[in-house]
Amino acid sequence: MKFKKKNIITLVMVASVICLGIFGVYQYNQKTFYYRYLNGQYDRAFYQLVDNMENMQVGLSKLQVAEEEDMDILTLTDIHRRAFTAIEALGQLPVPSATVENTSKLLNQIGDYSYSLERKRARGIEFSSEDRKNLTKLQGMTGDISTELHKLYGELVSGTVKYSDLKSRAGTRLDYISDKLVGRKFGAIEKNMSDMPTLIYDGPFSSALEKTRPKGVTGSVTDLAGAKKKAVGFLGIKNADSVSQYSYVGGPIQGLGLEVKKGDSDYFLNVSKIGGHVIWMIDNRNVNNINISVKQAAGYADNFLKGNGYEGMVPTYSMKYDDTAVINYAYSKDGIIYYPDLIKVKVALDDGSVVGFDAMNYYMSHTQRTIGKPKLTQGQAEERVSLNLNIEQVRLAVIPLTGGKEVLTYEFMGNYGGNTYYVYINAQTGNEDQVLQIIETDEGKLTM
Amino acid sequence: MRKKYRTLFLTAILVVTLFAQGAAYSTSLSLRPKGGKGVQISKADKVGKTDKRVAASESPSRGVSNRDEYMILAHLIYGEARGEPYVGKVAVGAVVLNRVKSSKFSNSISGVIYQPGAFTAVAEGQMWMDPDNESVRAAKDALSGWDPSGGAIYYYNPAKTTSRWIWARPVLTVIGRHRFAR
Repeated sequence: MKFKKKNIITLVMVASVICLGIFGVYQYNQKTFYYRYLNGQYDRAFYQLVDNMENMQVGLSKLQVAEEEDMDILTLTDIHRRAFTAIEALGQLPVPSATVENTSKLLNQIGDYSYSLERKRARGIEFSSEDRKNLTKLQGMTGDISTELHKLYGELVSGTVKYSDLKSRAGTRLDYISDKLVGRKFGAIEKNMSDMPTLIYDGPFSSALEKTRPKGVTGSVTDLAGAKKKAVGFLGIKNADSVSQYSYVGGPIQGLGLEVKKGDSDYFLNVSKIGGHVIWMIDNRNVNNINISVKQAAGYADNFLKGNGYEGMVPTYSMKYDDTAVINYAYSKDGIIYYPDLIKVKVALDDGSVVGFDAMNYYMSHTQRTIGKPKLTQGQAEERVSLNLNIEQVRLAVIPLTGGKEVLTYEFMGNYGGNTYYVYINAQTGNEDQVLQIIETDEGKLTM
Repeated sequence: MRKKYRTLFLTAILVVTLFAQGAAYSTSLSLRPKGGKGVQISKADKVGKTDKRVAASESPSRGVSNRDEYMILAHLIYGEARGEPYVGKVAVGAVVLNRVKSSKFSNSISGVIYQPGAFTAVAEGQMWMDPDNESVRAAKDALSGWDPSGGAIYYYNPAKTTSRWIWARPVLTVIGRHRFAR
C-alpha cells in the first residue's frame, strides 16, 4: 500500500518535470522567433539609413560638377527625399535619441538645405560660393559617416554588435549602454561630427532659428507680486480663491508660471519677466454645454482682447472643438495684415467665458516693422495667380516663411472646384510663396 | 518521509501553475497592461472605439482629417500623464510636437512617439489604453499651439528617473510631477 502511493507521487513529479521542459522549449522557440523578427526590422531600418546616406553622398558630389539647372534640381530633389527617408529609418533604431542627435540634425539640415537650394535653382539663381563650400563640406561628412555606418552594418550582420538587450531595455536607455551595443558605436561616430558647418538658409531646421529672441517683449522687469496682480487683472477676476506660483519658466520667453483659482475655474498662466505680459493661459475647467454660437463667442473674444489693451487685432479663422471655439487673430495696420503676430483666444460655448489664450507667436514676432512699398501692383500680382482660381478677395499680407523670415505678399482668397484656397504672391519678386487650402471639417476650418 | 514528498509535490504544482500563467500572459501578446492601475474610466468618459465609429459616418466628404493625429497624441498623453494636472497633459503633448519640429528627432508624430525607448508608456503598454476626455482635449490644445512646456523636448519625473544624463539638462519649467527640459 505504502509502496504504491510513493510510485504515484514519483510519476506525478516526473510528469510535471517533462511538462515544464516542453513549456520551456516552446517559450524559448517563441522568444527566438520574436527576437529574429525584431532584428529583421532593425536590420531593414539600419540598411535604409546606410543606403540613403551613401546615395546622398553621391548626390552631393555630383552637384559639384553638374552645371545645368535641371540636373541640379533633379539631384537636389533626390538628396532631399533620401535625407528624410534616412531620418525616419534612424528614428526606428533602438538607440537613445541623445546619442544620434548630431546624425539626426545633419540629415534634417541636409534635407532641408537641399530643398531650399532646389527652390533657389528653380528660380534660376546660381549657387553662391558659400553654397559650394557647404556642399563640399557636407559631402565629406556624409562620406565619412557612410564608411563608418557600413562597417557597423557588417558587424551587426556578423553578430559582433547587437541592437539591444531587451531584458534590461539597454540600448534604448543612455545609462545602460554596453560596448557591444549599437548605441555606443553610434556615439563614437557622432564624436567626429562636431565640426558641422553652420547652415543658414530658408528652412525650418536652419541654424538661424536656434537663436530666435522674442521681439515683442518690452518693458520693465516684473516681480512676483506684480505678475500676480497682472494675472488677476488679465482674467478680470475679483476676489480670486487663490493666486500662487506653480513654477518658473525658462522657455523662449522667461517668466513666471502662475495658478489662479476661482470657483470651477483653475487658470494656469505664464507672465513674462520683462514687461509682465501674459504669454498664455489655460483654464482647467471642463465645458459641457453649448448655449451660444461661435459668432457670439467671437464677440466675447473681441471684447476680451480689447479689454486687455490689444489694438488692431482682426479675426482670421476659427475652429470649434469640445464645446469651445478657438478664434485666431492677426495684427493689422494700414491695411496690411501681419500673420506672424498671431493670438488665439479660446471661448467656452456655455457661458462665453475665455478659457484659453495664447500669444506666444505674437510676442515672439510683434515689433515695429519697416515694410517697403510693394514693387508689384495688385494687377501684376494677379497675373501670376492660376487662372483656375475664382478670386473673391485680395489684400496685402505679411506672412512668415519657414526660415523665420517675413515677406510682404498679396493674399488672394478664392475658390476652385468647391474648395477655398489662399494664394500668396510675393509683392517684391512675384514668386508664389505659399498656397493654402481651407478644409471644412466637423471641428471647423482647417488650413493645409 | 511522507510529509517531505507532499511538500515537494505541492511546490512542483505551484511552479507549473506560475509558469503556465506567465506563459499565457506572454503568448497572448496582450499589449494592454492588466487592470488600470487604479484609474477608473466611466463609460461616458471613454472616447476610444465607439466615438471613432460615429466620426467615420459623419466625416467630411473631402477625406482629410486631423483626427488620427490627435487620437495618437491623446493615447500617449493618457499613457504618460494620467495623474497630472490638465496643463501638464497639454505640456506632454507639446513636447511631442516640439520634437517633431526639432532637427534632433523624426519629423512625424508617429515617428517621434514610436521611437524605440523614447516613451515609457509605449515600452510598458499604457499607450494602448483608451484615453479619457481630458487627454483628448489636451491633445487638441497642444495641436492648436498651446505649449506650457516652454519649448521643452524632454521631460522626466525626478522621483522615478535615475539617468544622470537627463538630470543634467537645463530645466525650463515644472508642472505637477514632471520636469520639462531642453
